[in-house]
Amino acid sequence: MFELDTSIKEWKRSLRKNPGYEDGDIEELESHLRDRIDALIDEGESEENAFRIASSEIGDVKQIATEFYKTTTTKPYLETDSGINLGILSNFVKISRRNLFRNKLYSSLNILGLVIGITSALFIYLFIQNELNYDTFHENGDRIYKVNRVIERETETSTTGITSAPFKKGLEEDFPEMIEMATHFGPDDGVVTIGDKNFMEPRFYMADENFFQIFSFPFLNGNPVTALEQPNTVVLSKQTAEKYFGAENPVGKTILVDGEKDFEVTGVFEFPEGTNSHFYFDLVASIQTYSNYRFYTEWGWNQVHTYAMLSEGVDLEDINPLLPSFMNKYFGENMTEMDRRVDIMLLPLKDVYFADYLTYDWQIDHGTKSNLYVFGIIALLIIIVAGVNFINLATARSVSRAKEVGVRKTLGARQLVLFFQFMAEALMMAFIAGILSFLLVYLTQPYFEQMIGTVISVDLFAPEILFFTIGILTITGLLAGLYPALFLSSFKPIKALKEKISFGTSQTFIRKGLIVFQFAISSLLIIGVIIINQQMNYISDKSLGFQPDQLIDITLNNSAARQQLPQMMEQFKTIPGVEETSVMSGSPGGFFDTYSFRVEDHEKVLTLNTLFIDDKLSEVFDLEMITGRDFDKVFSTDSASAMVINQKAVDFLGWSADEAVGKQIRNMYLDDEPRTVIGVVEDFHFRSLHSQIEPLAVSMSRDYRNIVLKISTDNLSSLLPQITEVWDQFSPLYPIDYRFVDEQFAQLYDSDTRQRKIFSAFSVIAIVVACLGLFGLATFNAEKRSKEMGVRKILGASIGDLLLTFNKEVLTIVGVSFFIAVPVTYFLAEEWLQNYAYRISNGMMSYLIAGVIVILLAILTVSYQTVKVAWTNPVDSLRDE
Amino acid sequence: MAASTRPLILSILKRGESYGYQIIQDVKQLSGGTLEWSDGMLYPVLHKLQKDGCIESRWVKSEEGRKRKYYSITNIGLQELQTAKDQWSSIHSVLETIWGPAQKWAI
Repeated sequence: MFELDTSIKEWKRSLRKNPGYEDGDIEELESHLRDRIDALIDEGESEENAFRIASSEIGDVKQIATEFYKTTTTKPYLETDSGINLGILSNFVKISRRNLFRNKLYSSLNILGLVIGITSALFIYLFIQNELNYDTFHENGDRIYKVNRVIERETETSTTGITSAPFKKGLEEDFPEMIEMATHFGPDDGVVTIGDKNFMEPRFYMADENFFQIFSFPFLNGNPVTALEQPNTVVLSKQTAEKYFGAENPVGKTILVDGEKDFEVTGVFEFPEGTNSHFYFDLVASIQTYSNYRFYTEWGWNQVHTYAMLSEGVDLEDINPLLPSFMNKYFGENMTEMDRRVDIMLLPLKDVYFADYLTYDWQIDHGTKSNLYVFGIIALLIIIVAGVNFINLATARSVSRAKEVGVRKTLGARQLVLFFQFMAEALMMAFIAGILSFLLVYLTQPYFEQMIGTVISVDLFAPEILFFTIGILTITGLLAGLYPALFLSSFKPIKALKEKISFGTSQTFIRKGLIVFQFAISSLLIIGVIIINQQMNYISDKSLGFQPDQLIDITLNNSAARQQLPQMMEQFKTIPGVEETSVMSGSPGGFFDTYSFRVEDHEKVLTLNTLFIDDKLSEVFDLEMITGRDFDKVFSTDSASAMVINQKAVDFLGWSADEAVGKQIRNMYLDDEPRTVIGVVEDFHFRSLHSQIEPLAVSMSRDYRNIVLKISTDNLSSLLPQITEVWDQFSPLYPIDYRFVDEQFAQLYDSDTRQRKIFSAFSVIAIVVACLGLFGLATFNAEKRSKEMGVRKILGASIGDLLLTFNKEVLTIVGVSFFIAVPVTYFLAEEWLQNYAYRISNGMMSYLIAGVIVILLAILTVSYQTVKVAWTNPVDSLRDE
Repeated sequence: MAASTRPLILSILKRGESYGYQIIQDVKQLSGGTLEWSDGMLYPVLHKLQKDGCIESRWVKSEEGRKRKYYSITNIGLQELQTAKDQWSSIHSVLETIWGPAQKWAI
């Protein structure tokens, strides 16, 4: 049955196959055809006849197309000498656009790959920019240095971020010429009462009067120079001021802190937009308020961060040689007694954020510089994989474009012009991909921030980001377009028109080489993901030596609770479900002190981790005593003169467990008399599994900062409210701050977990892009070899046979790339696993799994196309031509 | 394409705005059906004329919903037509002298 509309559609499609027709030409011809058909039908012709007559009257569509082509294209080719002018530029764009739309599958595969690649690169660039954007807003930033202490230890030196409060004045007084001023701040928390409302403020700093002169936080109200001069003054962040007082100017108003001290608000500051700071605070109070506290006056009480601003013209080299004598002056006696040196290390402000090696650097944000390199490299790899796709698809497709090149060269196009034409196409695709990527980044930024666990303060529309985007597009477009453009534009016209272009071995080799490269990168990333995951699972499954999910750790964070500690503990014990209670200095999975010790049989001063606890060590952690006994209230002398050490400490001190009992050990800072070892306890992990279990000295010294409750985990929903109720009873102002110890341990691996997520995500992206490319090539190959398949089928090959034939090649390629990836990955994995004291073996299994995954993915990608073509009736594939 | 096509189309358009199919019909009618080229070949010529600025075009939707591209002659077109007319009449007079009685529309 004849369908007029279908026939017209088909006729239009045949027109579209010819280059030369522009938008509107075909519509115009269609309108002509329909007018003519109407007229013929009026004359009494059937629809079918009318269509035949009308279309034949219009004539040979190819000839018309050629005429059209002449009216639009010949001129620039013939008339210009250089080959390039504005007219030809618009022609480039036009032809590029046509090619883009004519081959929708290739174009979308190419653009999709590029979009994924560029989006990843943009995200990673944003992340890197954000990391590099710390502390850049301080006017005198290049003169500001953080004062750290380098401490000699038995085997290594460690650098500590905290100092004691007297350092500030000491430095200012001893180096009046070199240090313009110094400042210090102590991170703390506090409860602020406004009217009848209490606010828990976890970022409540104390700082001296120089703080806002050295650091350039913009002031909205008040005077930064004088704001913290007087005791009992406080400066609020903009957000905090709004939270307390709404739109009113808070300067001059009073806030009540911890229910006991009044502070007058003397200023409001803000963190400048689009920048980051390595420390964040909501309120900062005058540290002078606490001038008669021990932490303010004692050189040995390390609790603040100190910064020095050098005078103009003074370099680090000028002051560095003088610093040891400063330490000798104030710590000489101390250092002789401890038999070790402590020195000052001045760290430029711009390096503080990346100084993640600083120990005890409370409430300071640090980034890891190596992450920048790792992510930068990943971004580069993904872009390369996407670029390789582009090259491969373009050269593979060149067969179908050989005729175009032939025709155009015959019509007088020079190789240079064609070269620019193909480059224009590549650039155009890159820019379409760029615009899409930019949109994608804009829309998905919040998800990315969630994944990396940081808010990106850098503006996506900042000039340097736009510049980077355009730069990366141009480079990607140029590099990816270069090879295909050279290759395509070099076709010899006669050959291209007469024969079928077949690839020389060099082209095939390059293409295969590029795929090998892509899949080597993908394999590397997949193996990496598997190893990282295995290591993280290993860590979370590894026994710590106690049951962390049964322990709740409550921070003892206020004096009211401390004063009534025994009564509170009694109350906790009465709650059903609380099996054991204990108070201690350390926090399992969190903070532990280290002190210097004099130990029997040892001449040198030794450093040990310490835990100060009541008499419940073995009970609360469920630990076995290897020898001797645990603390016991029955022995009244235990609190002043007994010590328990762990197995690791016994090994460290060179004893056997039995020898250890009875030895004398003195904490040089806290105890006047030595303590006697009464028992050795089995090792347990009190810190991250990044490090080995360390020697631990446990005593009953009264320095309690955490309450640890051992609970039965049956009925948490009723247990937690009861615990909170008891806490509130004794600490009405401070809300309870508790956490499960297993969560606390999980937090130690936060950055590892985050790395794992980012790494996994980008690996998936890389492999997807690589598969996109393979898919495109497979489509092309399957089409090209459809006749071969037809012949094979006729000769009796089954679809399975065909698949085997076509997968063999892919298997070889992927296999080769995999074996290239393995040694590289093995080396990198070994490096990474070195970070962990407790790690998986870098075994074959991960590599085998990854190999299977990569090969399966490749086979699936290729087989889809092969099956599709293999399934078609050989009659169809062999009929034409 | 015969050299006569351009002035032919311009002459038709001088009588008023028209579209491809209609122009073809006019040409056929005027030439008595003796023209040798297919309908479709008209369009490249129209485009060339437009590119040279001799005619202008606009899309119009007809009452039955069919889109048609209407062409109209411009001043440049009128000038070209005038030039062509002058050339033709001079050639015409020369040929007339040589051949005797004039032959219409046949080069």
